[in-house]
Amino acid sequence: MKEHALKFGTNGSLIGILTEDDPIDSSSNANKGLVALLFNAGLIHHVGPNRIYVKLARRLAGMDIRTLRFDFSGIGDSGPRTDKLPANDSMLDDALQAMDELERNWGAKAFICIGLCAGAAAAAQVGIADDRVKKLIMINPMLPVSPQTNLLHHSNYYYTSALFNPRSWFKLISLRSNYLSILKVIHMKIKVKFRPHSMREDEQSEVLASLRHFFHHMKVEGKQLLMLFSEDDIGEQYLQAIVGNEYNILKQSGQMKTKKLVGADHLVAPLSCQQDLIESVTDWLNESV
Amino acid sequence: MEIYNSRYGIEPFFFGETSKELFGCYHKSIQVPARKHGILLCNPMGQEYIQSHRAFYQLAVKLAKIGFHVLRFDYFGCGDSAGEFDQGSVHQWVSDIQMAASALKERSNQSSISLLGLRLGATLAAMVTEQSDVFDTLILWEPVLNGRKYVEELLGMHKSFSPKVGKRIWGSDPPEEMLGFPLTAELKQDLEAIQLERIKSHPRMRLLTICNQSDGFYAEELVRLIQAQPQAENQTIDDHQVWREEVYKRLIPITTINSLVNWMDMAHS
Repeated sequence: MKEHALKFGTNGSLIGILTEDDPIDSSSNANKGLVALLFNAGLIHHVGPNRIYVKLARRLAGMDIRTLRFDFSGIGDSGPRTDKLPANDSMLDDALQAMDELERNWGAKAFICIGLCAGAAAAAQVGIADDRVKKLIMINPMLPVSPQTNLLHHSNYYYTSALFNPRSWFKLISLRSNYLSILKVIHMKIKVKFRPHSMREDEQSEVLASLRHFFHHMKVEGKQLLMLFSEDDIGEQYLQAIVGNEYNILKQSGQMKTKKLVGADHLVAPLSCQQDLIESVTDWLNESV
Repeated sequence: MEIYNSRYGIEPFFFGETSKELFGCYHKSIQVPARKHGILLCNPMGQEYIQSHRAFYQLAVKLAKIGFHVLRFDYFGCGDSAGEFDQGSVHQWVSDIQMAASALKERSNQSSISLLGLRLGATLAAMVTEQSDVFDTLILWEPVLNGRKYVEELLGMHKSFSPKVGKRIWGSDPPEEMLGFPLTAELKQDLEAIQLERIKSHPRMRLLTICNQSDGFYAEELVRLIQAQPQAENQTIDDHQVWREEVYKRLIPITTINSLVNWMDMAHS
């Protein structure tokens, strides 16, 4: 395994680490043209939360897949931009520059975009914008804050914690619970059960449109998608309730696989869950590459 | 049009032994003429390292702007450096600081070097100065005073972070971990043995301690520890302890950074 410090972008202001199997030790060239890009999980620099990105990049090198972990402008080791580009556009431009650099100097032909939280949202954005992206791995994708997401958080709490907690039952019978919230969750559950698209009506149309566009694009372009959700993450419930058919069809077609990381928090801190995450990614890539 | 600010240019590189390569980011002095002095920044470890990373970046940029040559680097098994975290040890990390100091001297072509460390990085830097008298200035930013308390604190935070963590998969005897990082028995023993008051730095060296807690036992203890040092000063600055806060809340303790930069400016003018 060999790691290279890269400095690229218009003024060499973007910094990243390229990890590859040591060319001297490498026995195969099977995946040489395939490069994985790891996008910042929010403001956490390119080592990733709990250094997961480093571990993942080194494992992928063993599969002969090169990986670039880099920082978007103004994050980690990368300098800020001066063109006042909105954050999403800046992120996309930085990612495209990374892909161009890898294509020009490292023989990259196809890309796998990987990200956790905001990094997953960036992966989705880049996946739509560039045809060179063939696979996406989204871990606990960041969700828009809306009354629906809050309701799903409540629902998740009631179903996973409160239901099995004697204190919560005591609060319920001693009239100290938030009954309005409980009623809203029950109402939502009934609505979704009998009319799966009912949550869409209330969801911001722009968010819904962009999510539907993303899943539609994946399907039409034949791109493969792995979605990993931590146990306490509401992502899958949210996507099923909000996007509905487009999400389920992609999953049933085999183009998309989803998996729950048991015992994991949003940033996947427990070591056992980190291991689970890395194995889920490598297993899926082994099946699909 | 220039879309990136080239004044913030840094040079990322790997250095050291091939099997134990360390990652560094060299911030070349932006001011002309540059000062004839380099500053080596020593990171904390584990989750504290991740949470203070951008603060160190900003500190390095500001120091380079006033003419210092600055190197940030990752210890073996940490950040972008080679190795796994569970291969790290206090002895290894102390030797990494010495290796990084040599790399900074070579890159900057300066022989005068200061060490500036945060949390465990501060304590490790102090350990280095005990073994060598080549360093000009030592800055200890919230150093770990007592290793046993430090380990207790980390394990306590891990426990309160999630009582369910790890149990489901590892069974009843999970390996010890601290907020996303493994804590091996060897590292635990190493860390627990640390006592800053036992470390004796060279008397000619300038020493600055920074404390972000305005009250309590820690601040008093820190002041007491430096009393014996002839050229020592303590600054208590009411500022965010970014290494303890969730990363999306606060990243840059700007008051402390400005104060550190001003102090270095005065000390090396």
